Formats: sequence, C-alpha cells, structure tokens
Amino acid sequence: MNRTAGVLKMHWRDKWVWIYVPWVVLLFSFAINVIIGVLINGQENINSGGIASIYVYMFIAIAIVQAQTFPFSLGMNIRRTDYFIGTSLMCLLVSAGSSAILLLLSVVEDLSDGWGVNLGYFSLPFMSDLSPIARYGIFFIVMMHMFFLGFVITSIHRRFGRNGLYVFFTVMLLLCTIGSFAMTYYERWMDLFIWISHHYLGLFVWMIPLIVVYALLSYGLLRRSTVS
Amino acid sequence: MNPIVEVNRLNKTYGKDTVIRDVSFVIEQNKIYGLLGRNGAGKTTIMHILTAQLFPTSGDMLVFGEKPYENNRVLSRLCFIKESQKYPDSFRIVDVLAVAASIYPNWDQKYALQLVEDFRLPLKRRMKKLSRGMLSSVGVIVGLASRAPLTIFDEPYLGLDAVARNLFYEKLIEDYAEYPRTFILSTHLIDEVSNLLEHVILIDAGKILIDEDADEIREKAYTAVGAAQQVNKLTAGKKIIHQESIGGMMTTTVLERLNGAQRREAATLGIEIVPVSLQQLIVHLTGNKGNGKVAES
Amino acid sequence: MGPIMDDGRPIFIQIAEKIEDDIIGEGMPEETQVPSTNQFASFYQINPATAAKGVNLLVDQGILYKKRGIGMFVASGAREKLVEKRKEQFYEQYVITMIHEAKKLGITTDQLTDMVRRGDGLK
Repeated sequence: MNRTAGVLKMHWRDKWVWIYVPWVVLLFSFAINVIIGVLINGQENINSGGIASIYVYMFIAIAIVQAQTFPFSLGMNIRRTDYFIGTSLMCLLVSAGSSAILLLLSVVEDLSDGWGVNLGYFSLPFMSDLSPIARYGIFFIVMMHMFFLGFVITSIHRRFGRNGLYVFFTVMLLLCTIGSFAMTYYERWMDLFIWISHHYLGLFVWMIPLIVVYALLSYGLLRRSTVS
Repeated sequence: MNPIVEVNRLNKTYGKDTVIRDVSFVIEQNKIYGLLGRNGAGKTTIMHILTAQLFPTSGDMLVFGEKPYENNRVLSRLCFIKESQKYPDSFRIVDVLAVAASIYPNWDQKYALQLVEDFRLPLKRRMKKLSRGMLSSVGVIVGLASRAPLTIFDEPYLGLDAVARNLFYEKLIEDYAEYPRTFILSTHLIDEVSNLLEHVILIDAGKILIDEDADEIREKAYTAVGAAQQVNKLTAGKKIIHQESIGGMMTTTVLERLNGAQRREAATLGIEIVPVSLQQLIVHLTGNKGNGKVAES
Repeated sequence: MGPIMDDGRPIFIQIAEKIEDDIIGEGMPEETQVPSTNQFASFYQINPATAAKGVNLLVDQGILYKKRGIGMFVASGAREKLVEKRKEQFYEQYVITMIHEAKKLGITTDQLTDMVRRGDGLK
C-alpha cells in the first residue's frame, strides 16, 4: 500500500484544523466587516485586509499540525519522506481548494459592488484589472508560501530544538537589522518602495522559488529528525 | 536460524553520556523475545534505533536484511508500539485505527474492533481524554491487529489493571499461535511475561548481560538454603550472586548449573535446593549488589 | 490466568510433567488425542514453542505419537512406562530425602517403617 496516501488520509481526518476552522475564522472576520459596512451605510470604501486572517491561520496551523503528526507518523513506522510528501500534498490540496473559494468570493464581491456596502474584502485593490487566473494564482501562491514558511520553521524546531529556533530568529533579526541599516545608510528606501510599486506582481512570482527553497529545507531537516 | 534483525556493535551517546555500549544481538524469526532490564537501561533507545526513529552513534544493523532508515521494505513490516506514543489532539480511537488500517499492510480491522470490545474502549473518545490504561490498550490493539512480521511492544501495559494485562497475554498467545510472527516485549515486569518468552535479552546500563533461551536461563542458577556452615561448604569457590543469612540459616544464590552429583551432595548436607525465577535472577544480576557479567559464559 | 508454572525450572519440562501426570491419573487414556500445542499454550499462558518442546520431549520417549494431519495421541503402554519411571524417581525424590530427615531427628529405621504403616492405614 502507498504510505504517502496513508499520510494524506491521516491529515484528511483532521478536517477541523485544515478546513473548518480557517473558514470559520475568515467568515467571522468577514461578517464583522459587513456589519461595519452596514452600520456606516456603505458611505466609505472599506478595504479591511481581513483576508490576511486565513493566511496567518494557515501559517500557524501547519506548525501545530506538524508538531502533532510528525511524531505520530514516525511512531506508526512511516518514512520521513512519505510524511513530507503526504503533508506537502495536503498543503497543496488545501491551498488549491481555498484559493478557488477565495476567487469565487472575490468575483461575487466585484459583481455585487462590495456586498452592497462598498466592502473590499476578498478582492484586493490591485486585483481589479487582473484576470481570474492571475487572481487565483496570487491566492494560491501566497497560501503555499505561508504553509511552507510555517513548515520550515517547525522543521528547524523539530531538528534542532528550541535552541535551534532561537539561533535562527537571532540570525534573521540580525540580517534584517543590518539590511535596514544599510538601506537607511545608502538612502535606498525610496528606491525600494518605487520598485515594489511597479513590480508588486513580480513579488508573487518570486515567492515560487522561495516556496521551493522552504520545501527543500524542510525535507532536509525532517530527514535528520528523530522522535523519542 | 532465520535472523530478521542483526545488530552489530551498536553505540549511542548523548554528549558524554553513553546510553548504549557495544550492543550486538540477533533476533530470529517467529519467536517471542523479552528485552528486559531496569528502567533507563537503554531498552527504549535500542528499539527506537531499530525502527530508525533515532540514529545510532556507531554500529551497523540490518532488519529483514536491509538498513531500516527511510526504507519502506523494512518499515512496512514493522510495528513499534511505544509507551510514549503521541497522538494528534483531535484524534479519537477510531481515527487512530483508521490510520493504522491504511498504513499496515496486514491490518485486520475486524480483529481490531473485536479487541476494542474486549478491552472495553470507547471508540469515539478522543485520545487526549483517555486514561493511561486506555492509551496502553489502544497501543496493544494497534500492535496486535497490525499483524506486522516484527511487532515490538515497549512497556505495553503501563496503567493496565491485572484483568487487562491478562487479556493482553491471552490475546498475544492466541494470535501468535494462529499467525506466527516475531514479537519483542520490553518490560521491567518480568514475572508476568516470563512464561511467554522464548528468548531473553537482558540489558543493564546500556550493555547486554544475558542473551539466551528463557529455559536455559532458568537452569543457570540455583539457591541453596540451609545451615550457614553447610551452605558455605557447598558453594565454596562458586560464583555467588546473592547471599542472605538469618541466625544460623543462610540462602545463597549461585550462578551455575546444578548437576546430579551436586544435588546429591546438597541432599547429604541437608541443604534445600530452590530454583531461581527469571525475575529473581535478573534482580540479583542487575541490582546494585549484582556484579555478574555472564554474557560470555 | 492459567495454572501457575514454577518459574525456576524449564517450562517445557513442567509441561511434559503435567501431561505425564494426566496420563498416569488416567485423565488422558491411551490412544486418545492430546490437546494441541496451541491449546496448551493458551491454557497455561506460555509460549507455544515451549509447549511444543514439552510435547516433543514425550514423543521422543515414545509416550506420545503423532498421527499425520490429525494430531498427537497417547501411545498404548504409555501409562505403564510412566509409572515405572516415576517409581524410580520416587526412591530418589522421596525415600532418600525422608531417610535424611529421619536421621536428623534420630528416628530409627524401625520407627520409620512403623510410621509408614501407620500412614498407610489412613485413607
């Protein structure tokens, strides 16, 4: 029997973490935005950014899922490789499905003039001229990015323990500090913002190699991880 | 001789701590093994290494003739049930059984459900809410119903009451008779399992002390009970692993096979010869006073 | 749990002895089938391989024999053979020990035979 399928099945049994909770969180935040929209009678253009909640949720969810299912899977004598592939597939499926619903909701939002109250929730400002495929692509890539960012961070924890995580964050913080200091010193912040404003779609494309790097790192770390 | 596990000079160290020291042994097919020893002797570490969940510091090992690390040909024939097994928070007993069913090639779902009934487990209850004994029962059920060619139980009956433990032994023998396979039972409750074991590997402080057939071990030692003077006469110059005296009486446990001549000598000296149980022998060998290393004999 | 075994002696020998006892006590008449090793194993809660070893010990001694495809049977003449063997053991196990104990207590041979007679008078 294919054991990757077994891992997929294991994740699939936990529909609450993967499917129900993120949508409850998102729809709850959405409902609040709609209520605000109704209260102010749609006089102002609301752009809440509340859609980020599902992305933040996925980032946290994968960390919890990995912390609980990796020791369980190894305990069930599953290969680390099968665990990695099965879990990645689950992320892919959930991202694909969630993005489809997000796309649908964003189209409805456009057609309904922001749910009748001028609310921009699912359809982000820069998306208005994008094709549905491009919108879908953005939803999907960002979600995969969040998943694998969470995945790689928990994999560092799995492999090197809490101290490994401290070292990692210290190094990241240092790099960021040095980077921002350099940017300030050479007065390049404006250049950066201008570049981003022209190339923001490029940012999403650049997430793809980043996802691949995270995935490879996670795999490498899990291969050397142990449970006891 | 049909070895399915061959371990050669295994070592495991954590920093300066050596937990496993030059351990070598062989596990043959379709036998029930006891991996015995005190808590912290290194039993659990050895089993984690065998199943590729931990990495050895040095040494080789083959399971079903191959290296187990990331090897599905090996891992799919293994089932390792450990006392410290973690389960996802949301999982209920049914979920664990369903996952096991999709992972273990020989899984018998009907048998698993029968065992759930025998052990009186609430199928729909979350693993998080189970008592220690119920958790152990779930492990026992997964281990038995997996019908894996090599099934390893590490302290499988933590928290189980006497009735449930007996049920476990009963089911184990029954199912083993019907579907012969290799079992490794690791435990420090030796008295209860000693009759089930065909072969015993005794670990103490990361080293192997005994690796022998259980019946051989039972004849390895005897206890002489009688007047101190006479007992001393009988046991002089022999390897004494335990000695106690009260008043003029003395009991001395000797690590040696008793032959007919000695038995007659004991009778003429008025000494009673008492057999030594596996448990007693192991207590004497691994207790703080124990000084016997008998692996070479 | 099944009847308790004495953990200090090889289990297979104890199994063989239990079967012997049953044959001598006529619980297992000659030419009847003996329980399978698996039945012995689950009754006494012991390893089936050990039970088989005990049964084979009796096969080697001609006490039990195998009918192909059916199972183990008690051989004819098995009981007599066992009784003879036990009589020899009786001397070693009981008589010698008894005499030793008697000497320790200063019981004379005459007193001892008297005691045996008296014991025999009991039911």
